[in-house]
Amino acid sequence: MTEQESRLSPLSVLGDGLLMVCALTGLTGSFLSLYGGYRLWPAATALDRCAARPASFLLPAAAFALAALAAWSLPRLRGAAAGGLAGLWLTALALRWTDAVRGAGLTVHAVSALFAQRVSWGRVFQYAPASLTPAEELRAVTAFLLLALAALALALGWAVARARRWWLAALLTLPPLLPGLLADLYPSWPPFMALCACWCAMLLCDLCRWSAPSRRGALTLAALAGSALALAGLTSALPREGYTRPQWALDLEKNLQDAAADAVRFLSGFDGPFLNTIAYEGGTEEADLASAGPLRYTGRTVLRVTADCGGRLYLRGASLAVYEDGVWTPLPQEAYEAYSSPDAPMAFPLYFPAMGQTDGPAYTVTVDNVGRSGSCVYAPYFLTPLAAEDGGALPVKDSYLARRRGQWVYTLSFRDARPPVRAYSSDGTYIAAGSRDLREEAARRYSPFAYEHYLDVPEDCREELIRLCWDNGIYGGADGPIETAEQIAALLAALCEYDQMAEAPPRGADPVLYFLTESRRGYCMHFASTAVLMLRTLGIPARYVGGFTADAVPNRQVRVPDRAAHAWAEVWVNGFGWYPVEVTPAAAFAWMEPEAGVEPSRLLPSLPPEVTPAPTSTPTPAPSQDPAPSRGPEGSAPPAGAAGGPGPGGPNLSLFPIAVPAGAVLALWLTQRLVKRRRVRRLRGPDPNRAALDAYGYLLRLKRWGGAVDGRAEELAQKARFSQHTLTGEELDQLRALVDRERARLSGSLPLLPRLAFRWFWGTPGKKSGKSPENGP
Amino acid sequence: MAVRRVPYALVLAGALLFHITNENYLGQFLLALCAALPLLSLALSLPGMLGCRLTLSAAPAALNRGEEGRWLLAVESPTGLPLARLALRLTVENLLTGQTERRRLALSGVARRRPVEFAAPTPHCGLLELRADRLRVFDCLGLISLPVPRPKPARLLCRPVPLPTDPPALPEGLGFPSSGPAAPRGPGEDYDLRAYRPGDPMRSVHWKLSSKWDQLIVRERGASTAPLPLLTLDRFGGPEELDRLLDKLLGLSQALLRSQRPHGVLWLGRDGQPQLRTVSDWKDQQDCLLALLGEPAPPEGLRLDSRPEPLRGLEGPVFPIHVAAEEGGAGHD
Repeated sequence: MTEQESRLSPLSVLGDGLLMVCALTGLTGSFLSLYGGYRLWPAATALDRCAARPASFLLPAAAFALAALAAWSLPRLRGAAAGGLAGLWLTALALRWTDAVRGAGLTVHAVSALFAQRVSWGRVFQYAPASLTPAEELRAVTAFLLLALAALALALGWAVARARRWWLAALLTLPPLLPGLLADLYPSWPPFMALCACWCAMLLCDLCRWSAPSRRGALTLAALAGSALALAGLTSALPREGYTRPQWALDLEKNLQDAAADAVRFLSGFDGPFLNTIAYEGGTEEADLASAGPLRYTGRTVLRVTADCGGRLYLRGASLAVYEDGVWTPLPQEAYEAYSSPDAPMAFPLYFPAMGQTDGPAYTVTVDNVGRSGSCVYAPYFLTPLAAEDGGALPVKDSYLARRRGQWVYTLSFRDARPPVRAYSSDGTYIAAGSRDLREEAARRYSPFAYEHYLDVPEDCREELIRLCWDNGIYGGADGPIETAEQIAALLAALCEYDQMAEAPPRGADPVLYFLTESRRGYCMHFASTAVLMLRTLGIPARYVGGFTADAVPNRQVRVPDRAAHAWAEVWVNGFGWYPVEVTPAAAFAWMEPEAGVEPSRLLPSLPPEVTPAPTSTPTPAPSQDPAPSRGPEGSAPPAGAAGGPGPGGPNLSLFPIAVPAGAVLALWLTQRLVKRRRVRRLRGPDPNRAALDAYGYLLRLKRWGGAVDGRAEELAQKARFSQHTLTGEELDQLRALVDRERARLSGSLPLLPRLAFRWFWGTPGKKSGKSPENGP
Repeated sequence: MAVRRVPYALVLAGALLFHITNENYLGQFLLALCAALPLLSLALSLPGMLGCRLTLSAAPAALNRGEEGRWLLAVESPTGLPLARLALRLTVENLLTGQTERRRLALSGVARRRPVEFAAPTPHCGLLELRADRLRVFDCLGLISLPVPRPKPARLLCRPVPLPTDPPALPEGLGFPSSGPAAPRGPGEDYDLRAYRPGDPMRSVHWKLSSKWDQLIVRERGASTAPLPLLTLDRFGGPEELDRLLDKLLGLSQALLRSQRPHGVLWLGRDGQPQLRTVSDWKDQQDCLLALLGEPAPPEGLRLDSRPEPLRGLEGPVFPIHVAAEEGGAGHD
């Protein structure tokens, strides 16, 4: 079959043409529907307006596809034809350079903003052009998209008509869609299916890509038709509407994550070579409300908790103090330096409530962090002083307990230290029943620090928050901080609705204000953040805390799933310390069910109410009510993320132990294939002199393994390099034989491990196994 | 075909992982698509896979040593679509020298239209046989394979290159006069040939020669016989040695035929028994070559002079000419 015949086979050209049109129009339609159907801003973006008129892009896409195919299918001078098209493209780019650059910026910005809105850990590509009218934006985005389509068509034409590699076509057409697909967006189904049909057909024809053109064309058409039928059948058999993930998938995911957690636990049990050093891990996380979208859980176990008391335990992780741009972060180190010195270190405030208290029962809780979540110890409130150090944890600043590296199980003791309601003096200081000198002294020393650093509120929020509080009769003042917090919680419960599928706020909007004034839907992160800021505006020091809730059954281990991740507020009570306040409505806890074998009534705190170290809450969370998970992948503040639970579309870190080795193996295999392929192409290239020089270079590289370069090989290489004559086939074969001989010699002489490495990357002869009928074997 | 199956297994595992860790409908769809692709591939390929047949042949069927021959592999498929992949193992054996070469072959995109060709190296003479086994035909994705029936072996006769030689000097009166018809004779034959005369019994007619010479020839017992040139050879040794030996033998045989002298060729077979072929024309010579080249020749074997029995067993006069690979090896014993 001659080259000319191959170009003129109508079936082949028809098949390639259909592939091209399917790929490019499918990509165009999928892209526009994926990113253009969402209102990222109050006003529709230019991309949205482009999506509203898809024919303006689909028809040019088809035309580009056919033009590129025609250029690459020419029997001769196809390079010149493709170069001509490239020249036209460059000319168009030069003419519309400004629009293209602006359009690229606007498009990438819109895509990244949408991605960041859907996936919490996304980073937005910032692009702020000079003020453009909507018409100018539309023109810029249109120019960019058309130019991008033309360039893509040229590359795709080569991949389809010349290289005939399905993975090249997929590599060219998939990346524009990936951000949207990863962010759980759905493209319009027909164009996406057209694109999938193109990929499937090229995959099915991959082995026959070098067969006779008419046969290949017939196979392409058959594969395209079969793929279309199969995709249509799958679409009708598996309708998207009403889709829910099957139970087996949920169970399998949970088992996988538990296995991954066990693997991490096993691996992290080793302290490494420095056994005498004790390393602690701490929380330097943040809670990002700005990108917090819908919550998702798998039900995997994060903690196993055993306590000698019953009732709901709030296990706190780290507290966060600074709220800026919708993100909670810890206090900077400088903030502590003024209040702490080597001679007089700052006392750990979580010890304050139980300081000096010797009466009343003490309780013990054992927390096993089986999910390997977070980097701090999840501890109950009202810790017995020095309990943390006894258990192996390290108090850090005033925020959290650092976990010792490799240690995941902590046993901590705590006491009933809840302040009775309305036991305050006129200045809000807690009036303790009995002598609490030690506690009061410590709290008094810490109090200025709390008032200095836990009252900051962003200026753009302050006015709205104060207005809301005052309009609803909440003034702080004579009421104690706990009562004020309860009033705020009640206000929030009345104003806003708990919704764990709440979307992230629009870009640029403050999450708290958006939650409070526009969406009025959110989950624990939004309620806790809003309550903390409202308390601060009323002059009450407050901070944001993330952790888990657990319904403890006395002397029985209970499982804490990722759904139990939670966020709440802490208020500063003078003379007492930080006190937790539940500000999320009770609906957040609706998922919790009684432990098997335990009657619901038994889940009520078996401790006296004042003993149960649970945050005070306006809608008192009944035991059968549930905490809502908070989110934020890296944050201790949103413990679901800290717990490694799947945030809203964020990466599932617990699968890394499986994914990383699998990825490494795949990368190794791909590398070997690429290296081998490259070598084969070089050694068997069309230019004998070039192939000889490559063979000689290969021999030289073998020297590092102990190889030797034959004199004859050097002579032939010199001839190939310096002679005006081309090496004969016999001479080239001779050189190849020398290469094969040297490789075989080395392969047999090396020790075991070097031999394996050598054979993996160097020892494969790299002969082509498949031959076309035209070439013969 | 691990190069296809392993990536597919990885992709399937990835789709499964994506499905079980992702609430998105796309995860389910991708998993279903990954699972359905092999079925689609099989549906496209199965008719061609089931009807796939392979035929082996050689072109030309006979050639001289050193000339270029071609093996032809013709694939038959009932559908017009190309076969995605056909894997097989080819074995080329020189039946004379025992040299065997095996190679694995994978043909991608095989179509019915043109046979696959590849070179048949002929460095040594002998009867070359091409066999194919371990035949598997794959589906479009290269994941599923089916066996294919073995084809009949193909044979290619690689003849020696005759060494230019003058006819050996024969004693006076040996054989037929050059003007008369040459008679095939061999050991044990005790008759002469002459033209038919009326009254001769029909059973004495030598029908083969009669048809060849276009006149009735009869055998006449008891007539005086002339000794027959008998080319003897020790048929063993290495490939190069055999090549030289056979080149000489063929040169002598052709020289005798050109001078219209029938002759015999004698060697010891693999079992040590004498093998005798009479050569009276070119076809006899071809048959003799097939017999000589189609049996394995051991590196070491019995020499004819160490076993005089075959010669003693010959009835009638012969004029033995021993052919050896060494220089000047051809001579009268």
